[in-house]
Amino acid sequence: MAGRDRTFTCGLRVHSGVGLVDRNFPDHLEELLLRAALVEDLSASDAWRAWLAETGGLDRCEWATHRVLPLVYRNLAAQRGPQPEFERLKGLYRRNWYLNQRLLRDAEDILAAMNAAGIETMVLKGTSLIARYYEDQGVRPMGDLDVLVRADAVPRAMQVLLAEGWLPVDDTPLKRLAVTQHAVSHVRADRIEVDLHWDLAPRRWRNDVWTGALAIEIGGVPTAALSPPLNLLHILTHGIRPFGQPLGWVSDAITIIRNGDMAWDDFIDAVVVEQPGPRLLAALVYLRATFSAPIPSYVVQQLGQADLGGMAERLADWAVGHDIRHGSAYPEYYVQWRRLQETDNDLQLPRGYVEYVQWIWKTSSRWGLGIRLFRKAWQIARFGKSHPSGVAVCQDSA
Amino acid sequence: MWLLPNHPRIISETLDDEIIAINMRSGAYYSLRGLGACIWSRLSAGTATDDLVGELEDHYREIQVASPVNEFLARLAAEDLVREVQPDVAATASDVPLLPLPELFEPPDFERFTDMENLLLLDPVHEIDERGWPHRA
Repeated sequence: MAGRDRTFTCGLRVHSGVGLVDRNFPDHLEELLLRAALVEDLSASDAWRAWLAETGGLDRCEWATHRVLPLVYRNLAAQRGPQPEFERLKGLYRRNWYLNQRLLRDAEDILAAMNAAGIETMVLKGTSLIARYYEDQGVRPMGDLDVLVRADAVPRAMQVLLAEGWLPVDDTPLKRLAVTQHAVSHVRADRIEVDLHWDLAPRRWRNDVWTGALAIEIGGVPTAALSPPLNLLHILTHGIRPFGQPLGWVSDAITIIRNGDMAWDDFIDAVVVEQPGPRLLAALVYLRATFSAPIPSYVVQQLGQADLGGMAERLADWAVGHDIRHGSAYPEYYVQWRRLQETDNDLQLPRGYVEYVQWIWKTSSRWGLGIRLFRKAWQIARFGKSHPSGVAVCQDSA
Repeated sequence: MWLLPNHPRIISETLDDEIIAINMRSGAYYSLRGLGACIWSRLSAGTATDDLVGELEDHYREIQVASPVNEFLARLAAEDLVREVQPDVAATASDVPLLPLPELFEPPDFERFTDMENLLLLDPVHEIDERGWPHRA
């Protein structure tokens, strides 16, 4: 992967120049940080010192690095000898632990209310990872809560959230949201966000996510979590798509693989069903090569020979991997549109791909779609190739 | 008397030689270090308060530990951090590692932080001191 220029400007990552920039995979500095967080020997300390030296220290770090610093703290705490910036790392862990406790208490209340209403739930992303894999409630920032219910339970689940004081942030009619989205966010005054899911991603999942689900508890309240193979697949596919954060998906994936009693044959089967595109294989190869992730070689071999997606999935992968900043969404939308047509549901679907994009962008007509496309093309033409990506790296990812 | 951490209202965690705790009802955050953390670990393990004082008296010979320790325990109770339980309940306490007692005696204490919303708004790297969050610069 080519290196990229980095300028720290109020938390925004600024790119310059051209070339192959796969922003979903860690760059050199991010790899140092991940080594400090994940490697279980003294080289973690060496990586931490190298990261401090090369970045100029914690005072110059991007907000996105906070994602993994609590994990760095825990890993370094297991090493012998003093570690630079240890107390500030510990402070980051304390803060994260505090925030997570409040979120987990909210999760308990929501899950208990759902259970009382007879709605089956599954917690996703941070909540499930903390409960099942990290075994530490301070190392992994959660940001928000992600709760999955079965599609036919969504209206009732939204009523439960409403009764608990959570309001949907999108007032689009549910029957339209059910087509264009996979979740709807809810917020409560002075509280965090709850994403109510009916699917795992905008690209409809072919695997039955409830198959092999693990029974877990959040604060004593029963719920479920994805099976380890599906959880790993979810984290990987989420991480290597647009807005995926490399520090996040790598640390989550390594943790699942290490602690998840992974059924690798089930993982292979799930990947073949899901056809996520060849970048998933690249992610696995990367984790093995860079972090010695205990992924059996036969998994890589078999997936290397498997059909991981058709032309649409490959084009979507290519667009994301080649940093087609303003164009990577359209192949992805096409894949999403195709997957929608596969699902067995009674949803009213758009008449075609163009109308699907129209629905996503909430434009009422093809004229509106055209105007929006023109405005985007104008931005590209105006700023050219040196246009700052402006990716707000403080966006929550998983 | 037996005192246990007042779960589930109080959630606590051990970080090296520090105990951090939250009162989930009020949102207040607490930090216990030194002898205060050691006492907490012993209470969590189901040690009776009399036995606790006895251990400290044996360790810190010629120092009158009972008064400061009992005052500390009273403050813990006043903050709802601990609750009194019966011996049979104390016997089921978690098998937690006991923090080693400091060599020098200092009266046990804890820090209490209540301005949490403002503390959470602090930049946890740039606006804190060398002790780390939640200590403001």
